[in-house]
Amino acid sequence: MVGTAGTVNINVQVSPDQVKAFLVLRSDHNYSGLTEYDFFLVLTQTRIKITPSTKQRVAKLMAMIRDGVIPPEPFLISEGYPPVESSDQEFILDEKYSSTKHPADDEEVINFYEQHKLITAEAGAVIGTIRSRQAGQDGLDVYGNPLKPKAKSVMVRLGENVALDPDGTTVRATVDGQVIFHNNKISVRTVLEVNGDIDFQTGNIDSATNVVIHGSVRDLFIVRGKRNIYVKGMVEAAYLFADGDITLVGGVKGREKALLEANGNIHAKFLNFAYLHAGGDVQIAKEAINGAIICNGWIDLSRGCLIGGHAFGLKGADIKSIGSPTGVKTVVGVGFNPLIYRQILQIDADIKKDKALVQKIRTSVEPLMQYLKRLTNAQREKATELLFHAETVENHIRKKEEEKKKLLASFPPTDEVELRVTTRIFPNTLILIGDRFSLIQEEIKGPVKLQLKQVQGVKELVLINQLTASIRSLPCGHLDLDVLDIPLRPEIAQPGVKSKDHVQNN
Amino acid sequence: MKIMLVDDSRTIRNIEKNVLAQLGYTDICEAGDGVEALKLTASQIPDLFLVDWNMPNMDGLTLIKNIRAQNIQVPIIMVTTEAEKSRVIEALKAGVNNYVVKPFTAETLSDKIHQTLAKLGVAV
Repeated sequence: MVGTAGTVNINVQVSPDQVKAFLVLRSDHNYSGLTEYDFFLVLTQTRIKITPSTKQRVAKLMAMIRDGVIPPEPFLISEGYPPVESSDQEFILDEKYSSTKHPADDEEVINFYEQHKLITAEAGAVIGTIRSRQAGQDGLDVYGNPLKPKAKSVMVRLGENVALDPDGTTVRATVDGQVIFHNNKISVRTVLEVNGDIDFQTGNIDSATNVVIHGSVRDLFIVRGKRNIYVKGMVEAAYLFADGDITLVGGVKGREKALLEANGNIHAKFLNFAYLHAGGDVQIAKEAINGAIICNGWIDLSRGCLIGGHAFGLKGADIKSIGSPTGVKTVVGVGFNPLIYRQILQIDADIKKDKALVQKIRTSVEPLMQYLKRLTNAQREKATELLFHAETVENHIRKKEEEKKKLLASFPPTDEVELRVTTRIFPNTLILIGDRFSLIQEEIKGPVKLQLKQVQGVKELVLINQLTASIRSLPCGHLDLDVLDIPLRPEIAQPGVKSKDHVQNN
Repeated sequence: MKIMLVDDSRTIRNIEKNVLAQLGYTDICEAGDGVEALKLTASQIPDLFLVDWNMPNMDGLTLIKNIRAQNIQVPIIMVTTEAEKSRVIEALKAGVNNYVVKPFTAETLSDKIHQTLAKLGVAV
């Protein structure tokens, strides 16, 4: 825009947002004859509003011209102010679901496995809050006209399985599930579905609902599910904990680190150097090599082989073949939970020790009691102490025996459990049934069934050939702490993550 | 019911405490001799005393005489190694309600406590 002051044309520039206006003076022009009035005239011609600050700026410019100084740059002559923009409605995720952690100081180690990217919530839990839209404020342009803020209309929408509290801002999950916020829509899905692998892209999973993993679970990652876990790929040296079942379409290549614990059943195609603990049954479709299986139900390896490692099924086991022609040590136990059995054996050892102590005390005190009158006061005091010590130990023995009884009650009757083997049992296989064990020295061909039976009033471990129905006793011994060989549960090896027992009633 | 155990042997006091706990009495205070017992009694009189005879500073018999001299009529059971008949009579004269000779069993002690309290009409 151009305004005319006397005989001089003056350029007026206005910024694109119309908040600033400048005068552009040329160095080859002579402005010494101009007055403030001339500049006000230029501004009026170009419709720039003259405000008190404009007057001050004109005065300043005039002073410069009087001093013979022409501003080389456009001279700011008038200024309005921009509008304050309105804000969209916003969803703020509750703090407890915010997983991205930053070190508090240089010393703190951040566990990147724990940077959960997938969030689940339990029914009734507060997922987050909706922050209301904030209205904007008008601005003012250099012409004195209001500048309106840009209209915004993004609203947070409530999707499936979420509800808004009466306060109008708090959003809760109505079911257990995965929290999804997409396209300004908040919803909860009843299945946490991971399309790829569990790795640093996803972080560990801690789900309130069923988990479906379409890929694999990579080394050292943890998947915890309050319901079932379903993995379509492989499980590496990772940790899976489910309150329900664990189902693996693939298998486990555990490298002696993998740990899978389920209160329900565990199904897998194969098992390789991994530790499994199930409250229900364990079914392995192909083979279990150097693994550890402990379950309170059946072990079903009826179409697979068990080579090396340990397998303990409380209710029994059905296995195609056990051990290998090379004589790899393989342990199979049925009719007991080895972890509980170890406690029982420890109790037995304690009781034996306590009984010996009571016997020793009684033997030393009883002769004295026959000659009470001859005892000195000090001997009487000592005798009282010893008798009470014996009584205390006896009470302790009674408590231990009660405890043992309760633990034994969790085992099925030994005549109801059996180990079925379809094809063969190779030498160096240790069979444990109830409280008996037998080390297999020569190959046994199946189909056979091994059970504990009373033979002529004596409990024996018998082998029943299922084709001929012939029965023969196997040489067996009484199971004790030296024989009971229990594999160690792997520790969770992620930095900063503590191992904890997951399966109840260990 | 508050019970005071007076015995210089901590082990015997623990034994008595265990027996009393089995009977359901857990409000127990302890003294290692007669002097300590009298001090405790000055602040709160228990509902039952179990007192040993032979103790340093002040023996059990002196303690009992002191208690009765103050007209404190709560039951007292003497738990002691002194088994002579003359000693028993001496204790009874001093105001003991029942007498347990060491060594004793848990059963004997609990029977004597029951007897003493029942005789005095205290519910057990």
